Amino acid sequence: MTAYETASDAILSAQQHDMRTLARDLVAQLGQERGDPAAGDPGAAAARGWDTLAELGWASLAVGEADGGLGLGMVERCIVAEEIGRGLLPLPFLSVTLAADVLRLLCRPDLARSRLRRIAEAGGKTAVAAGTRLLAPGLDHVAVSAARAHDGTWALNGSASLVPEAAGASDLLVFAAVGDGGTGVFEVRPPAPGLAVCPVRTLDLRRDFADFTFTAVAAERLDTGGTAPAAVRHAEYRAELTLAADAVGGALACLERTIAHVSTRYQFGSPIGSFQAIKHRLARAWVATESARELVLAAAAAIDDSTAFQEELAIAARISASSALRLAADEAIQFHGGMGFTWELGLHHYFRRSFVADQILSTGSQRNTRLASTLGV
Amino acid sequence: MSELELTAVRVPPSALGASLPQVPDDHRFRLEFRDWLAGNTPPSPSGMTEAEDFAFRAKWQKALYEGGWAGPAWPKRYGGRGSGALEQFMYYEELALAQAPRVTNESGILLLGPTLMVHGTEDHKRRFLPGILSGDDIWCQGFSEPGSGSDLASLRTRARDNGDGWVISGQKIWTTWAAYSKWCFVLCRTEDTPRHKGLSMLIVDMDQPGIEVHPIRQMSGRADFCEVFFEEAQTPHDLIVGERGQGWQVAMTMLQFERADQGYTDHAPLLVTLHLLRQALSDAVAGSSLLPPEAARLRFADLWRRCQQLRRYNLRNAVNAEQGREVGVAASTVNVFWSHLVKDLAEFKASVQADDGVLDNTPTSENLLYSRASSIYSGTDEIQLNIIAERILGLPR
Repeated sequence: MTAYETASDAILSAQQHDMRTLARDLVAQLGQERGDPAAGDPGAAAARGWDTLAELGWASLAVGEADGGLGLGMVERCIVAEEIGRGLLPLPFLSVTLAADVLRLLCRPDLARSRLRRIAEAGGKTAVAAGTRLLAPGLDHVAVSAARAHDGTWALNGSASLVPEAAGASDLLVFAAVGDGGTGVFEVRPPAPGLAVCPVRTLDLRRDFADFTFTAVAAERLDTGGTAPAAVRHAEYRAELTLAADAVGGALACLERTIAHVSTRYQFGSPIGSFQAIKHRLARAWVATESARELVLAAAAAIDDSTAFQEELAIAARISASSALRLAADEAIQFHGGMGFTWELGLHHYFRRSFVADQILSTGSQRNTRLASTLGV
Repeated sequence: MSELELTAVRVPPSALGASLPQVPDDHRFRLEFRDWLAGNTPPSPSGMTEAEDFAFRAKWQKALYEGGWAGPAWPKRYGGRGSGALEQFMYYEELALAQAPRVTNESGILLLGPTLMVHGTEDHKRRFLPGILSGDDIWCQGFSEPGSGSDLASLRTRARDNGDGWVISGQKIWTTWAAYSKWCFVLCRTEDTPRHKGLSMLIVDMDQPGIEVHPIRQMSGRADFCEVFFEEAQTPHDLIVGERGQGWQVAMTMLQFERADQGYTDHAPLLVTLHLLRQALSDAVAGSSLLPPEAARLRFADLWRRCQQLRRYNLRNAVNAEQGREVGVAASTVNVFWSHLVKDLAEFKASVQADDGVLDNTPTSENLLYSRASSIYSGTDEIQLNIIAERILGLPR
């Protein structure tokens, strides 16, 4: 892997490079402690992982320095997300970074500030809930409505299903329809009267999901009023990119494990990795993964440098990364033969993630259409 | 939409994607070259014969040379600009945006000249480099043989030392531009040691009785490459590049230039082609496209995404080279990624411009046919995949 790492990290700064090394070591260490969440309780390991991330400030790297965070960019966010994805760690990194973006980009600065500080100080687990299917802050999908009482307080009604990384959230940001046809961002702090949280076991055993039901739940409105679709998209494509980095990490893990296996597994007197049938397919999966990783970093740099084509590159990176993970997971299982099909070997977790993660925020075909529309063709 | 209209317009930099901080749109180097191109780029006439095309390209290379823009990567003392990798990256992007024609001596400028700079003697450099850059001397690369393609080290063309110089006999094939070439780099067997170890690299004058050149008609109908027969052809002792028996190292240097070069040069023309097809997409409704509009849009987006991946790869390699690191085997990854993209884009172009795409001898259909070579030359995809598997992933041989 060394030749590759040198080539790929050329554009990263020394600090970013160090961050990747540290994140990789950390995830490897946490992964050892984790055990199998399907068999036991992943909660303790997950909590420990989050505490460690919070100590490093990475839990709040998306929070600006003025609010007590590290104020790091998308490149750093993607570096951390990739390593978390590599280790399939059950941490709410996606939801907390998305929450920070929603607060920063969509909410009244005076109201956002204390929430951002809470994330920074406690490594708080703020999650974003919206939509009827997985996490879909796209305004078309809002199935929660907000009603305003005479005294000016707001109450939420409706449901949000299959929200990722939100089951243990201390703060919940909810996109809800307001009377005038617009959408608002509301805060609920569980446990709250009228709020039902029901964990759901999806195919992806390493990322928690939950259904939320709101029955006259008191909530505070945080947005600036009439949330702008463009701002929502800014938050959304940052999250798409975070998911892309997570997928790249998973794909890399699949490839690394498979390379190790085919190099030491002998059949017909030779390591099976010496057969071109395997070599060429693995090399192709590598090209798919590496090129996806490059695009993730390109998109992250575009956002950090405020260039044009941020959204296009982020969506494109997500498309590339999603298919790379699927390919790498498939090939990993295939090239491990019968062992690949066992529960114990655990490769199925990557395959599971490839299927479920592909549908978070958007589906593959939605992304393809969206990229074309954003490109103006 | 005719090819003539395609070349009339300068393409906006946004066709390439975002302005990159390492090579920004308003970089001084870009602006300077852009300015020169604006005053000097000829529109490409359509319907040229092969010989006319060659003459047109030679003239363009001369214009670049005289303007001081022929070889950005070449050191100043050899007539180049001494540009680093990032300037080269910008150079090729600007050439593409201006829709400049291609030059005649591409392989001389990109592969053979740079190889001479690494392995040649001072005499070689003084004598040959200026002619390569100006295009006055066309060079070709005599590597492959009928029995030695991917397995290059098995080649059998032999050179013996008769005391006065080298005497060469054998056959080369797929030698691009051999029919127009003054000089050839000939990789041949000079020693009795097997395979890689017995080879030397000789520079051979193509204008002599011992050499016969037969153009090979390609599937595209054109004949860019040739068979070259050596029958007791001669070259003096001092035209050996590198030591006797070290020809393989020289050849590998050249192949690395060849693979890396596709990195620097090729994302920009692809993105420009894609940009120009935007118009064809709206025309698609009018009926000349084989793809339904929605399918064409999605295909466009898919190709744009992959072109952006290629651009990032090239940026990465340029940054590496700029920082003094070798691009090395990473070039194989780019090559595999690039070759599929070239083919798919050519097919897309032919599908949405189907009026041209189905007719023989249109630029669009010729491009479709020519694209099939992208996964064969400079090492087939299969060889590149072996290199990736063994030298990047570390899989057993």
